[in-house]
Amino acid sequence: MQISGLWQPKFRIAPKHKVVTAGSCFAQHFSRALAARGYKWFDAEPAPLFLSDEDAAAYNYGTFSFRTGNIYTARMLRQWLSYAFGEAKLPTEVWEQDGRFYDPLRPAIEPGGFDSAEELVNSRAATLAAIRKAVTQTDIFVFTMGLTECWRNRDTGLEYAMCPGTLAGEFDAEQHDFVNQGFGEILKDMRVCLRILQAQNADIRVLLTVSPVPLTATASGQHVLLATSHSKSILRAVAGELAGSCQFADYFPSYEIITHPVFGGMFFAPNKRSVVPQGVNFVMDNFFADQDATFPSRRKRRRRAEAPVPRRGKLAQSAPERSHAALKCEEETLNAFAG
Amino acid sequence: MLSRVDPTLCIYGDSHLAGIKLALNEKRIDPGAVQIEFWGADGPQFREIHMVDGRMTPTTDAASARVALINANGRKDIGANDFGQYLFVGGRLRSHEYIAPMLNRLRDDIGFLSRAVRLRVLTRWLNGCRSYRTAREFAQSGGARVLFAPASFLNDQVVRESDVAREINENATAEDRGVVWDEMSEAMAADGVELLRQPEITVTRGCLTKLDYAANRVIENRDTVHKNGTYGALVLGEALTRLQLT
Repeated sequence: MQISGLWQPKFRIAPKHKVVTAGSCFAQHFSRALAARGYKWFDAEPAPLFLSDEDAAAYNYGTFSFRTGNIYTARMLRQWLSYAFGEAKLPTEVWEQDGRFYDPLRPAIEPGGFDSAEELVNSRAATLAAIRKAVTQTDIFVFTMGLTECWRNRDTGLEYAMCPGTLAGEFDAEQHDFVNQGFGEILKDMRVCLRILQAQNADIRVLLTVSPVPLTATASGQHVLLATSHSKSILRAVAGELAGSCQFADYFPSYEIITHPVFGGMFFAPNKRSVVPQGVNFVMDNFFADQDATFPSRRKRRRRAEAPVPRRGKLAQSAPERSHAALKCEEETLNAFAG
Repeated sequence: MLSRVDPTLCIYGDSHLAGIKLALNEKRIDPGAVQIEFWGADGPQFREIHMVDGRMTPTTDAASARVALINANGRKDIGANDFGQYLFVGGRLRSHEYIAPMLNRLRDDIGFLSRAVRLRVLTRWLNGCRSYRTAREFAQSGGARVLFAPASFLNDQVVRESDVAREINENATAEDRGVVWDEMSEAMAADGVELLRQPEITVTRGCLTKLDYAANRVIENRDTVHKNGTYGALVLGEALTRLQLT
């Protein structure tokens, strides 16, 4: 099916621009698609050399521009930005389970948790530094809004990445509140986020998207179908409001491309929840096509495989250096053994 | 004191064997009654040595020729039980490739890695080296003790200063290096292999080797890796002490 002109981008996103991605799981597709087409997806917290691709994925390297894991809500994004730029005190809450330590802001970031609370804090500090680097150095900040439902600590107001007791921690009905954020609250949180982003980087451009992935479950008491509709409607409305009122923010309609009835649900997997690769490709094809249409001078880039991660630093030898090195090896050996 | 078991020591490796051999040639160390035998190959021929039927075997004529040059006894191949002790030297396990990036991360506030991640990186680095896999197999399948001295840090004043500025944390301390060496030692010990770390006295500028320990003419040859007999004597001396062979 062909469709065009869904999006009239406000600003150009060129291969030379650094692009940060964050948000719900659908944002990962943006990261991969940008890298695959030769764009500068900004990995501000890269995996260490020699870590296998499998381990990097398991430890959440290279998924988003920093190791926050999924940022499902506007409040979570606000929390991360506020902590990174010193606008809020870091939470002291740590979840301990079976001698392992879990970060309530990102409990799934390390499979099996951290060795100690100190390690957890140090690791989080690295991620906050990566957020600072990403925000201050990037050209484009892509944020995919995912959920309105969340769990918060009644006393501290801390919003958790997931309900305590799901992966770690212990649910306490006296302390943990379910919150289904409304339009006004999310809009306010997002405005704070935009303010922080622009205060740190006057040239930053923000591209908002809404995840098309429906809810699997809801704590709202509603049927999940209604809860999904409620949640996505609010997020879509907030994104539209911000794109309409903020010069440096835009909205890209990946949500509509995947979910609109005109496509008859063809981009959903048989579980009717996951988005199939063809859907992601279709979304990204539209993204680049609409950029080309609005900014025709944009140099076309052929899709290419993601650049391989260098396995060694620059101190490793090039081919001519290796050849030269082989001669040196021989000289050393002859000097020692052929006496 | 000689080992009660077997005083034979095979020193296995690539061109980094030269420093050890020079130490003996120059009589910088007295091995006493220890029967030392070198085995290996240098340059690209080292990559042409493979495990064949449980024995490390040169698989090309060129590699066989290099083994013949290095091994004075005409030993064409070696297995896990041929010697009482093995000292692996260099063998493409380059300590700077692992340690320099780890130390470099210390100067970056984004550089922190959890222990779990560090161990995964370390394990992959070790297991990606054929010599290390050989050492592990010898340690686990034979009765011999197996020591491993990875190739040392690159030579100071030979490495390009632009590379040093980018990739070497010159402020790294002995304590910083100790943490990384300790983890490496622990990982190797789990495989039955004993690590011989680079002597601290030879280290300079965070993660380089002092020029005093570099092979002759390294500046002229732009040789960033090879070491001299003084360095070789330190390594062999530590090995003999560890093995209680002297």
